[in-house]
Amino acid sequence: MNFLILTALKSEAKPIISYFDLNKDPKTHIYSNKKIFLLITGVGEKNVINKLKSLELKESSWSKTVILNIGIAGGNQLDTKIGNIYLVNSIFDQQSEREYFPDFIIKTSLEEMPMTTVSQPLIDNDCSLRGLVDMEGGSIVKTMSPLVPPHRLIFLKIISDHFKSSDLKEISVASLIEAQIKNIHGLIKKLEHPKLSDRLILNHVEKKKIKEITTKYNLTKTQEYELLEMAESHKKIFNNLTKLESHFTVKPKNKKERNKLFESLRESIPS
Amino acid sequence: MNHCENPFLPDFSHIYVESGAFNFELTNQCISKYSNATIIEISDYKSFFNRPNQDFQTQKISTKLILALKKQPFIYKGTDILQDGGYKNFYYNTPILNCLYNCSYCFLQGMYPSANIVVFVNEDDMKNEVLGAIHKRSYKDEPLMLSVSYNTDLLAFENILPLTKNWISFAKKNKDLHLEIRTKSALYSSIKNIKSSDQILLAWTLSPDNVIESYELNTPPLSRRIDAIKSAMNDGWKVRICFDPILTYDNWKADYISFFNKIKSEINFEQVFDITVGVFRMGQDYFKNIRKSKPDSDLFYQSYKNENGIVSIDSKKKNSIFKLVSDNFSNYLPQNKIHYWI
Repeated sequence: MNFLILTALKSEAKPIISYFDLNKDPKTHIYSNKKIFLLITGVGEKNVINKLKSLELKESSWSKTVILNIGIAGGNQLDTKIGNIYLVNSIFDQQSEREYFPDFIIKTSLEEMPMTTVSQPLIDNDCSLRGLVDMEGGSIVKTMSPLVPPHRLIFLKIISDHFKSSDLKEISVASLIEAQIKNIHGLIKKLEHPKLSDRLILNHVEKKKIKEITTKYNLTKTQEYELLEMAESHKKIFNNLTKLESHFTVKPKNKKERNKLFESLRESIPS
Repeated sequence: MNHCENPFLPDFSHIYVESGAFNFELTNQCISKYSNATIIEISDYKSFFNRPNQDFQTQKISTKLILALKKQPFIYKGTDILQDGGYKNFYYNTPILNCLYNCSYCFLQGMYPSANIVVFVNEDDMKNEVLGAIHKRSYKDEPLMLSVSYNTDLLAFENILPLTKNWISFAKKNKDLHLEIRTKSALYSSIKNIKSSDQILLAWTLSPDNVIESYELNTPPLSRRIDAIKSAMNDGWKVRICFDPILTYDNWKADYISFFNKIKSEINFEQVFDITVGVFRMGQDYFKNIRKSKPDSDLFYQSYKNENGIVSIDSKKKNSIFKLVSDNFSNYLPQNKIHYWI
């Protein structure tokens, strides 16, 4: 499993970069080691969406990636304690009025809390919102939920303030994150469970092979899709692609021959 | 960490409750039964249930409960895929969406975007609609047959909420209403104290033990289902036996012959109301949805025919299944008491 950590602020990222020994790629601005990647998105919807859209990950990489938004948040003082870490169990995006819910599959000891994403800071405003308040959650959901399932899109927030500027004067963002780094690491270890990855039938090499056949035989989009399905069925039944590959030894001279070949494939391999 | 410890949350660790669904009897019962669950209020169950990109099988690891209000329609006319068992006024309803079990061949995994279980707590609205449908039914000389366990296994849920009991008690008050309660559960004990009624058809789906182990995850073994059937018949309930689906695989015939022999030796067929027989079948869209999620089960990687949008085995296989059932049961029940899904 890979982990893509998103933080809004550099100061939130610093303790994570240091703890996991992440190195910056000057081209992409992504910090990483072998399994953990970190991107600083900036604050607010516009920054988040721009940064996330620039992310270039191969499609297959998302199948085993957990996205973790880690950062500070304001909290209602009836519900939260400054310095505590919370796992977000619902996000209400005030601007779009949409709700988002992550899926909780793995046991953790972290306390859960609902969160509201707002577009303007609430500091020193008379805030009656319960639970947590942040400025990025809703945008992260909007951009990333098409890419990963809800059990791999997780929000971890550490309370920096009870919506008062006086609270913020007394804290150091980096120290708040640093104090919770063991909890963060604990959750990452739990999320490494293989059952949380997408189920894949074809491995990287087999997918490459199918792609090669598609190009070599100049298959149509529909045929390509059908071939992929056939390959999956074939792999499930025979645990390899040998029989399927045996159909692709002679290159057809024209479309008619290609279609004939495909027809014979359909008859011999279920899809 | 202790490596033996189950890393996953238990089922119903979280209960999502629609704002309007609080303070219903069923909601209160659920919340008090799962007092350790995290309760999360939601505006509309669809905002949780219909989220994009959910993974049905991952959610089956730790299924969540959703308590919601059913909106119209409250009942539905029977479909081509659903067996009507010879009833002319055949309807089904959905007191629950999804199931505690996880059968590999089940259409629910292609029908719904989520494996989480929705319980509709406004039973009275559903019941009122049923009363209206009884009044308006096309064949007045026949009762309205309502399948209450179509998109779920209602009896399997009985230890959690008494929905089967509630529906039986409702039917008993309306003589033109008959219920089919289809189940794989062994939880007959949960309704054993209710007096049997001719209006209620308890329908048990039975399969050979190797099919149960491979394709009917979390369901009780055959012996426990047979015990439940025997108890129900002893108590005077009408019992339907469903061989649905009968699956074909290497040596399937030998397995099913020994399974049929076991059933015939243990169950008194003079007391069986009827038998229904079906094969693997599924609407093409549901089938495609399931295939897309790359399920582990080999069932979805075999060769099928698609006729009029229904994916199923070829007619040669179908006929050999129906012949096997007929050969095995024609001496036990009249032919008109064996219903085939063709």
